[in-house]
Amino acid sequence: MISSTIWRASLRVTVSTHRMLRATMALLLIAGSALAAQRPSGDGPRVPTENDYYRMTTLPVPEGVVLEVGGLETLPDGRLGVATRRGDVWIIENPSSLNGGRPHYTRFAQGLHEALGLMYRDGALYTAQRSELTRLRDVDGDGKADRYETVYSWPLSGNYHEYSFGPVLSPTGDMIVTLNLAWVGYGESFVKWRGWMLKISPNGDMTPIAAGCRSPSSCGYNPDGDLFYPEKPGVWVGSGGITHVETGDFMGNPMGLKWSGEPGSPVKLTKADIPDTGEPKFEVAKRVPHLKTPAVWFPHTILGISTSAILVDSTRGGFGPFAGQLFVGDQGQSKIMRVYLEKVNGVYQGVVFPFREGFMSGVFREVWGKDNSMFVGQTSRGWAATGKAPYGLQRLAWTGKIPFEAHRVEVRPDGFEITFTGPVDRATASDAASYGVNSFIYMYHHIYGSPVINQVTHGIRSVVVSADGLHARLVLDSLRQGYIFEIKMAGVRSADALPLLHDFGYYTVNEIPGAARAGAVGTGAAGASALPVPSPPTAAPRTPAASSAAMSSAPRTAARGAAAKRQTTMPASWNGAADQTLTLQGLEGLKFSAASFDVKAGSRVRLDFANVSDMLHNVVIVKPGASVRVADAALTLGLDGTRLSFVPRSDEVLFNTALIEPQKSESIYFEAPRLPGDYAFLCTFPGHAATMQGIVRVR
Amino acid sequence: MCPISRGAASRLLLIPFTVAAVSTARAQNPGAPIADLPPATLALTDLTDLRAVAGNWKIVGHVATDHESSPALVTLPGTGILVNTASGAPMSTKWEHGDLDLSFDVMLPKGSTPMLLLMGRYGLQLSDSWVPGAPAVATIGAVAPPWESARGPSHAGFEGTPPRQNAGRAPGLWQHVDIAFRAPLFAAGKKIANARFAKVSVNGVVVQENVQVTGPTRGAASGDERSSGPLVVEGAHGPIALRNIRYKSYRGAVTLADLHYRVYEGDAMDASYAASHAPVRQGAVAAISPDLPVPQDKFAVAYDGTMMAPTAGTYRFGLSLGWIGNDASTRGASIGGGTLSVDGTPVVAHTGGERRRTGDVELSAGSHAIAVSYYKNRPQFNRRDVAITVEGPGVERQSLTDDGGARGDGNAPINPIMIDAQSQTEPVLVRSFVRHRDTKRVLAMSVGDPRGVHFTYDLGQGSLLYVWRGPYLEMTQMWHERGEDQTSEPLGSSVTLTGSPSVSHLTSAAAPWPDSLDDREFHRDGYQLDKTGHPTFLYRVQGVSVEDAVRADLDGLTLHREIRMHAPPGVPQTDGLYVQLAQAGQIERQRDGSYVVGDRAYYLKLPANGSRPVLRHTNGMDELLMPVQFSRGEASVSYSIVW
Repeated sequence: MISSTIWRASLRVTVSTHRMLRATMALLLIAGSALAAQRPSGDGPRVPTENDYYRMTTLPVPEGVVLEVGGLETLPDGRLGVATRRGDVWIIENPSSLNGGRPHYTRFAQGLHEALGLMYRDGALYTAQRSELTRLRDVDGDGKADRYETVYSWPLSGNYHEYSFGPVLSPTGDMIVTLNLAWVGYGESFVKWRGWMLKISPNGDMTPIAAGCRSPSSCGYNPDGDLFYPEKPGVWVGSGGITHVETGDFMGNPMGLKWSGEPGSPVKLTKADIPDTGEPKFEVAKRVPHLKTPAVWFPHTILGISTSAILVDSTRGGFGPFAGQLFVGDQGQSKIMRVYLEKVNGVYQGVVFPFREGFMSGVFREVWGKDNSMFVGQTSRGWAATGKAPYGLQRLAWTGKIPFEAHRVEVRPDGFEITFTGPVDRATASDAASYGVNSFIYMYHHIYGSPVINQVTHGIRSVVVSADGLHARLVLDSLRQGYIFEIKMAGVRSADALPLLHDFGYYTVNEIPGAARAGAVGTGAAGASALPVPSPPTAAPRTPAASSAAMSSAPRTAARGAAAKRQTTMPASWNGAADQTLTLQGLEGLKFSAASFDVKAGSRVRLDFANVSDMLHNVVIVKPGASVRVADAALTLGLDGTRLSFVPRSDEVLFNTALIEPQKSESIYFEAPRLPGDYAFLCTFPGHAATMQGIVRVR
Repeated sequence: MCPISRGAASRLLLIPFTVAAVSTARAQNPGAPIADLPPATLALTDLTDLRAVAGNWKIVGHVATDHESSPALVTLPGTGILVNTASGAPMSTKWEHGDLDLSFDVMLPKGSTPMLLLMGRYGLQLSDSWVPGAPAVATIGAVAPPWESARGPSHAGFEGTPPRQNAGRAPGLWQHVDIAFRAPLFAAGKKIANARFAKVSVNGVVVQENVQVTGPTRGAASGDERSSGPLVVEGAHGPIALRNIRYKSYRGAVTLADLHYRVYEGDAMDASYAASHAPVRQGAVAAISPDLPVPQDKFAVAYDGTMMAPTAGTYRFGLSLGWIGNDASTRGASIGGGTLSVDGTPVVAHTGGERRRTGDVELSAGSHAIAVSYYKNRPQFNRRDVAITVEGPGVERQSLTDDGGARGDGNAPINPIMIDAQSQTEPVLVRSFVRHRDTKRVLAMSVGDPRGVHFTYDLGQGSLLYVWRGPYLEMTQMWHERGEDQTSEPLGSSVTLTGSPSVSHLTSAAAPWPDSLDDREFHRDGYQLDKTGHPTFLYRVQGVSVEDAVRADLDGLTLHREIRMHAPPGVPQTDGLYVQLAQAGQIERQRDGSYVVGDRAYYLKLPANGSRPVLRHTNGMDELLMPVQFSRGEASVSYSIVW
């Protein structure tokens, strides 16, 4: 399915920028050789990277234009419309530089209040400002909007966190907008429809659709015309994900239920109906009708920390082999995930994989160009992202090569069927040791985020590879309804001996096919007998192949061994007094309140850490020069990250706090190192260390 | 505004009015006002506070002028205003000053260019500056250059400091000036520090900060430099009127000595804990300091020592406890409190009711015993910092605690985000939240005109909120990081307008004007831009369609507004529809048919041959209403604002 037009076009682009090409090739060679060195056999093809299949280019932005992307839309003639957080709408002609020229920017509109969406329809652009849905028209045809028309407006309390997103065109021709909660140390709905999703007709009639959103930064329709929205972890949201929205649904944050009694509300729940027990959300949903659980959970810090945009692959192969799947962006981790959805027993569920990382700023919007490339609009202001640029606009183009990927995972009564994008090497793909499966879930409560709970490692009873080598059928010891299944495929090789470009995914089992709708586990099929699944996980069966079994015993050991690392009460030997007390706060915008402390070598130090921001933070004091290694090690903790407070087990970690929720604090006590030097303190929560770092000067 | 001191007999009754508090009418972080001692007031019932003055200076009760043409001030008898009506001798205070905080209202007729001389030597321009364009050394708020002959040629062009912007208003309006002046310092008869304008604000905007003057201004009474001198206003450069002259003159500082501390720890701390328990630590200490090692959450601390009061009089002490919050759950004696005593008498009794608490005491000059104690009884805010302040006769409000100034937080400074309109070719539109009086308006739009005349409009009420000239808009509170305040703020000196809806029905001619219209009465339709990019706002009031066009005039000084109304057939009521032109404590019609609004805050002009508005008095306010008269379903009301 290679589009020869695109192929030729990208060749022209690379020729015109051959200096960049040389640099890129040099990087690829380095990366390739590094990876090759890790391969068990020294020969064989170079291990490809994401860039071999999906090439990222950055659009130039004229000096002085602050392109903090809030909305993106492709116009019928291929120009790109960009709405910005600073309130401008730019029209970019030739955004793909297809003729070798550079993109040309024209300002279409100005003065909007943080425009967080852009949609073209019938000769007009629509955008959601903080207070209203606005139609922008250019009546005199001079290329600039001269009519700014209020289609529908909603109240504001004046809180900065009351972002308004959209609109998104519905199949029936209406427009969907989503409204953030305010933030006052917790999410709050001070005025009507905050935390809701609204449907607005072109002539301004509004119908509320669903309640219970926290920070719904967009929404999108799948090919069947069903609506999904991405949610970010926070209070009442244990981890990110995407949720299928139907009229009358309640998404989980009770604050917006304040308005469920208003005329027109299809939601009838009240705040009092929502228990705050910390049970998994699917358990609570059994008792609370219309409480909706995600179609696909995105495990926190592994596949994002702030789910942002949904784009369905409508390119019919123009963007590669994933037609009909969803590309879901993440603002904090500057990357895009890929989602395959299926409907089981009438309920949406599916699998999420990594897709492309390394964007320059926070991924916030995605849109298809007329050439089937993906434009990715980015901003990170106020919420630091892995990509360090404050904003950016990048283009992702398929190179025409098919990556070796798990194309999809589908649930079966006794396990999963994995479909690959190309034929597998039968030996590795049929070896159960090439796979690993865990299941787990998150808590549903008013607290910010959640630890991973009820984690179980599953035994793989058998693996059957199809005759064409495209499918692998995994039969498990059990399935657990409501749970997230981590499916690792590190051992699988393609027929060409390549590893998977991304060798894991997470499948959310809302329903089990062939099972009764309520709570069946482990149906015996394909020769596997059902096993009862114990819970809590301490009694879970473990297979030797499951790496997380070893990990799960780590924290207790670490806790014992690390008594001196996280001492939260004053040691008795101190006789009630610390020599010195350090005060540190975690501030909004990913900052610490202090850049450095001076302490005397060997002195008794008390560190008071208060998290006054709206994200999770810790404080880790490390040996001189170790901050990058420790921060990187924290990124590899996977599902164990939350439980370990994202503190890697390392001799280079000297002291640490726990992971502290917003508006909470902790004090730790330690004796300063006897060796003078500059010891770093940092937050090791993934992505935070770049801006949350400082120095403890031991003298 | 500072309250007026009624005890005018004590001319140096010094109460700190902080410069920060008067620098802008809309502080960025509004909070509880700091209750400073009131400033002294120059008596303007007669001329007794002044040295013998020539006949050109007199006390009057009312001043006015024709802002477009007259170089003279017209006066009426009375008291409260000091005026120089003709060219003549300067005015000079009987008292002398060094460090001085000063504020006053000033009115100038067209073309007048008098100067204020601090210490009789250091000049600050008070000129009529009602011209468009960039500020110059003659603009109001300019620091005058030193005497030519005292300088070498190398200084040419580098001394004399124009204000940052021309914040001047039209002739005949009351303008407000705040000055923090610091006198030169001398050691062994030799000058060791220049005189300095620490801060100068004109009409609410800062126009100078920490500008040094190397010597007396040309035209000063004396060419020498000393540590004190009288306050002088020139008399030879045109008429001027002054009122509300308030000041604080500083002469010394409070010092502490012989400090001892005691620290107490326990499970249940309260106000009496220190008195009834033994300290866990104690000793001598150089300063009251946040570095004193105390536990985070449960402690009491007591200090005692000696304070030296430089002069006799009323002293006001402040005790601020960092762990006390604003709302009911974060304050109270169960959380914390404290006491500050002087010579054994409690002066500040802090019972945890608010973070900062003050108390006054009469002290003689000299040494006094001071004791401070405070406690914290539960975890809160992760804070244990205290701040103790004192102010007194001739003593600027000062901290008695070591503020740890050496401990910078190390965070990068915030780069301000300011947008300019005068370099643009079309108006710069900005929607934002805006603070207006005591509320945050969430549907505000500011329009910055390349001609330098700007305004902020409430799209949700169809009303003008601010008009101003000069620099356009500060966006830092909206565009830095998350922009948590989400407000923009005029960079120029803005005139605050009523903010009430401009178009409304009244059920009777005596019915009160509504403060706001709800979304059944007012429907916002958006706005359209004309060929030059200027917006016309579109809305409906009870069925009547309104087009509201606000435009800068070509002169760069005036804002013109035209409100066009259309009543479609079938709209039941077009009778009783009014446009509110202005609402203020007072509105006065002038001979030429224009109006002066508020405390001579701005002029409102109507078209020459138009209808005459109704001037009425309701709810303690003057109000100018124009009845709307439809002709074939169309009506129009227009006016101009001049300031």
